[in-house]
Amino acid sequence: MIHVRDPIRLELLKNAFAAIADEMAATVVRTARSFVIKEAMDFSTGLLDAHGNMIAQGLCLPVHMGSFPPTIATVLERFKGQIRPGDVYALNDPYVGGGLHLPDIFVFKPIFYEDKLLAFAAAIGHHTDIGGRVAGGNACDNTEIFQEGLRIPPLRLIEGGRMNESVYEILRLNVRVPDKVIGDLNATIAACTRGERGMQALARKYGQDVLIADMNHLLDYTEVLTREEFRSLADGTWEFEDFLDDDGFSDDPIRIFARITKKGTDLTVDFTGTSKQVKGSINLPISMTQSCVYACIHSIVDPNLPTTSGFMRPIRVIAEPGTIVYPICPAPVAARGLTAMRVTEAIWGALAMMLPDKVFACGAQGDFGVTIAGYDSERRPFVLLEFLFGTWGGRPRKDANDGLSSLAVNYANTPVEMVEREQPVRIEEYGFRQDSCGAGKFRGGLGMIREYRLVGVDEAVLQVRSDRQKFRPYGLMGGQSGAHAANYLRAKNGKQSVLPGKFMRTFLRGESYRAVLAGGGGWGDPFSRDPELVLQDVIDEKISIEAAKKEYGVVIDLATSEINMVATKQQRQRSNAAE
Amino acid sequence: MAAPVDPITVSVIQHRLLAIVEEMGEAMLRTSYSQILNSSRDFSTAICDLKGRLIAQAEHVPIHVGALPWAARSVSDFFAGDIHKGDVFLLNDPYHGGNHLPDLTAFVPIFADGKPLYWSINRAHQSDIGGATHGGYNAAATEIWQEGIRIPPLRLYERSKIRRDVMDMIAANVRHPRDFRGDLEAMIGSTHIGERRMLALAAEFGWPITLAAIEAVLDGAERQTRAVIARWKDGVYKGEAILDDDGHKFKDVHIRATVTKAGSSLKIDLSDSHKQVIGFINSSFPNMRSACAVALSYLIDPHTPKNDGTFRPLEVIAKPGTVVWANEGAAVTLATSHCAQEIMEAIIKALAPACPDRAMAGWGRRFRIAISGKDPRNGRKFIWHLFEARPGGGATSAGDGWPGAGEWNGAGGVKFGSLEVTEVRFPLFFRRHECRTDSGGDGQYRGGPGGSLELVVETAEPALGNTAGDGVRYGACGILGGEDGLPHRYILRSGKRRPRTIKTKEVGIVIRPGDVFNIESGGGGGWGNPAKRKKEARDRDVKNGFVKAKRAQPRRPRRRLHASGSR
Repeated sequence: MIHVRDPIRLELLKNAFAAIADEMAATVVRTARSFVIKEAMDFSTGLLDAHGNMIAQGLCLPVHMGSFPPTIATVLERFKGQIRPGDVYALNDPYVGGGLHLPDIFVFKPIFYEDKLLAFAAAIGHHTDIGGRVAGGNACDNTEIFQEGLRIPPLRLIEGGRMNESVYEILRLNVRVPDKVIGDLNATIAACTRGERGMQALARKYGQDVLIADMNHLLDYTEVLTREEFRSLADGTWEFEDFLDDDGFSDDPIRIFARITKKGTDLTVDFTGTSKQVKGSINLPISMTQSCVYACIHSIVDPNLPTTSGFMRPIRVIAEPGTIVYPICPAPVAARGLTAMRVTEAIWGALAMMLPDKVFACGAQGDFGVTIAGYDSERRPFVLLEFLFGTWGGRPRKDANDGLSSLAVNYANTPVEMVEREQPVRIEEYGFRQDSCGAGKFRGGLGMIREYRLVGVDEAVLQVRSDRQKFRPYGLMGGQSGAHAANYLRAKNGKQSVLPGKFMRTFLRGESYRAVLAGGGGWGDPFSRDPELVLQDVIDEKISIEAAKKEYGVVIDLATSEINMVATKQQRQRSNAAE
Repeated sequence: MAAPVDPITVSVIQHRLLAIVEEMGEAMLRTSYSQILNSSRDFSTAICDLKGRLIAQAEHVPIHVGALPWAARSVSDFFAGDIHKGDVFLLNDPYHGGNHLPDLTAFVPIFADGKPLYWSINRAHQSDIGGATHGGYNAAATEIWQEGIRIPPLRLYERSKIRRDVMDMIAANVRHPRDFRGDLEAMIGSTHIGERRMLALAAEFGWPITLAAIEAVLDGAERQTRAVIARWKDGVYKGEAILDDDGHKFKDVHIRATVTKAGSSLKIDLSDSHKQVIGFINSSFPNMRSACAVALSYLIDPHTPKNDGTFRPLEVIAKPGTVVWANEGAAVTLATSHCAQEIMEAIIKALAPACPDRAMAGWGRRFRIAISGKDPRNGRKFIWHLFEARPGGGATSAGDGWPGAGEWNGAGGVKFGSLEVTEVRFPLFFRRHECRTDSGGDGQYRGGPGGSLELVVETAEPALGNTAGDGVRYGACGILGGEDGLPHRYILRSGKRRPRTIKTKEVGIVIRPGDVFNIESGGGGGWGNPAKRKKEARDRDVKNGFVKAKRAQPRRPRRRLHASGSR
């Protein structure tokens, strides 16, 4: 047990840290330039103590959570004894820096108070472009990291308040849209400065020693709370496997296998049995694999549990080097976000075995990454990068939310108007996809459809990272899987052709690309679904009359839009008997 | 105003300058790690002043040197007022004074009385520069971001202290960081030797005399060049060269030069060249200027030093957005070979009738393979560049073209790697390496034969190959009635599969263990009417195996792919 002399103050400081981290996040949103960061909010902020332990995370991406400690560790090691006020450190490399993939640039600003290193303010931004073979930095068909863009090892971006012009210039030249990237990078630095001021204000108010002591207390306190949570769960081992369709090179499915062992107050997630690393760029760096674990476990505990390194202490992650969840340099990793989705889904699957009344069925998460890039008539480069968020799976007590980002990533969507204003594309359709939801007592969420037509330029490059064309999002407790995802290309003459899950191709003026997202899995037996809810879904055109009958055994009278109770009863009995 | 210096001192200093840049080169050759540098010598050394005037260059890779003034200017401008003793600067970006990304350039300032006056410069072709493909040549590239890491003018050492994080960042972006660091240190060492020797020179003669002598050296080179040009016939001449393709949708990409010769001046107008293309044969501005300077160098007295004065009689006109001067962002990696060679070809073809005794027929085009794989003998990864089976040199009024002398842009400056060393260092076996019969273009003077090579790849697992080059449709140009050399022909034989012809711009060629390459490189172009070739020369060709017996007589000219001279 820990002994805190002033628990009230600890509580106040805990909330102050979290508030500072949130304020940092707000600074990023208000000062960033790209869609990815200011609209889709693909970034994170956090505060770390002087040893690199996380003491607060901004309300951003849960899967970024676990990645600050391993990355700051590489900075601390590299710059040991040389960290000075006014410095800002940066990195993006997954192998020498512990990073996530090259477009995610981490920045760390040491916070000094009275010449003593107090803490670090940290931020990650997912940048619109990082150079490399394919604009947008998320190509699936890279085969080594050198193709994926600029690798940034831990380095000093700003030294004692003076910008390292060389690094800035290299960055400026090596990305396609330097104004956006440098602007966004500076937004993350501004956020760190915000964090620095906040922490310095706290140090002034409470004194430096108190602050440092309470940061330690907070870590211990979080650990204690986490262990208490774990203690209340049953001991045991639970397993789950899910699959990725392929890596874009071969057709082999890729197995993600998670075994969760809970014993006493410790919890282990073991990925042994997961497929080997692949040729294509969907390998998931180990720091992100760990982050996925923390994000998933955090989703089943008390939401008020602080997001600090203390939470990570009772959790152990086991993965074999050379597997897709722990690739070895120089394996490509650009499109690893897809694998992160599947890893979280495998972990949630195992957690569902452990806590059947708590965990949702599988959603269709952030599998889709779409990049449309090229040059306008004046040869200025443009890059449209969007991660289409999917939909949730059915919940133990409720239907899924339709069209909502995965719990793991908390994306927002980019408004159609913004896209059309800034990019040479027209969004021809954006909406829900009827009948895509997995049937269940509580049905899965509807997938989305988004169709892009190239209108402003003659030619662009279209690159898509997607999955779930073969393996559908799973249902739970008798719920059905959600519908498959699909990709289509519509030629100028209207002729439609099918595209694979992962591809890169030339995109011509007048052509349109149609992203059809998978639906979420259902939870529970669909025949036990309240027929009134089924009727409402039909009225809302979320499901068709045919699906109501076939999937739910609910017969609806077309003319009156009412439930034919007799026919429904017969239908449900007949179907049950048939089984 | 500089004081006049006696001509003996000027000559001594001129040769000292040359000795300095050559010593820089020797140091580089002895200390660099990569084969492309320590064996194939794909690097150049030079001294420029801060205004970017070329003071002296070693005779290494011509195409590097003509571009260095722009690089020097770029660094001088970027760091104006902020250059200190002990600083080392770097750049490679073709839109900031570089040729193409693999050519990394290091600069060390040389100070006189506390003021930076000169740059000691080393430009070296790195064996890898990151990007989509190993070895830097990405035939699939459609923009520069796919070609490697772009390095703007930057400071690597600040007052003798390395900026380690900048170094680490660059090294993290190349595939062989150990070799890369070794090569870069060799470059920096070589530039420091240049600095030291220049300071010693100044210490010996004093700065005032040294400076005045340097001006006299430049003026002398200008005088000599003008004297040569003045002897040619005035007029407006046109020449055209054509590239096979850009590896994407463009075929028959033309470069057209209109050269106006008046008195002792030349004006080269390239405006009528093909518009910018998609693939990596676009040229950056410095590379295009360099190609023009090289063309002129090939036409003047070989003993004239190549410096700023040499190129003063030259005016160049070109249009942005054309293949010879691409807009920022275009892919350019192959341009130091192609289209640089075609720029030279168009200019030399144009001027051939004006100075037939100086004009040289075309040298074979570049067609290189880079293989990346794993050496089964030690489990290490390797990247190998084909520098063997060099194409033939072009014929001149002085005689036949050199056999296997390489491409025009290097004109013999780039050596082919030793077969024995290559076999020791790479899992490769050279079954045959010889001159390719009948490949040189016929003429009064025959083009040099290309090479014929049979290469076995002895890896245990599949390796990957990329190619970069041109000239499987267009051979090296003959001039003044000489015939074109034979184009290249590369064939890959893989087990029982059908042999296939390798294209000049391919990425991701799968090379299986035991695969055999049959490489036949193009010959040089011929000079002058074949009917005028002496019988003894033809007999000698047969005896040497350069020409088959039945062909050892003048033939009816083949259909000419190129036309030379005025049109």
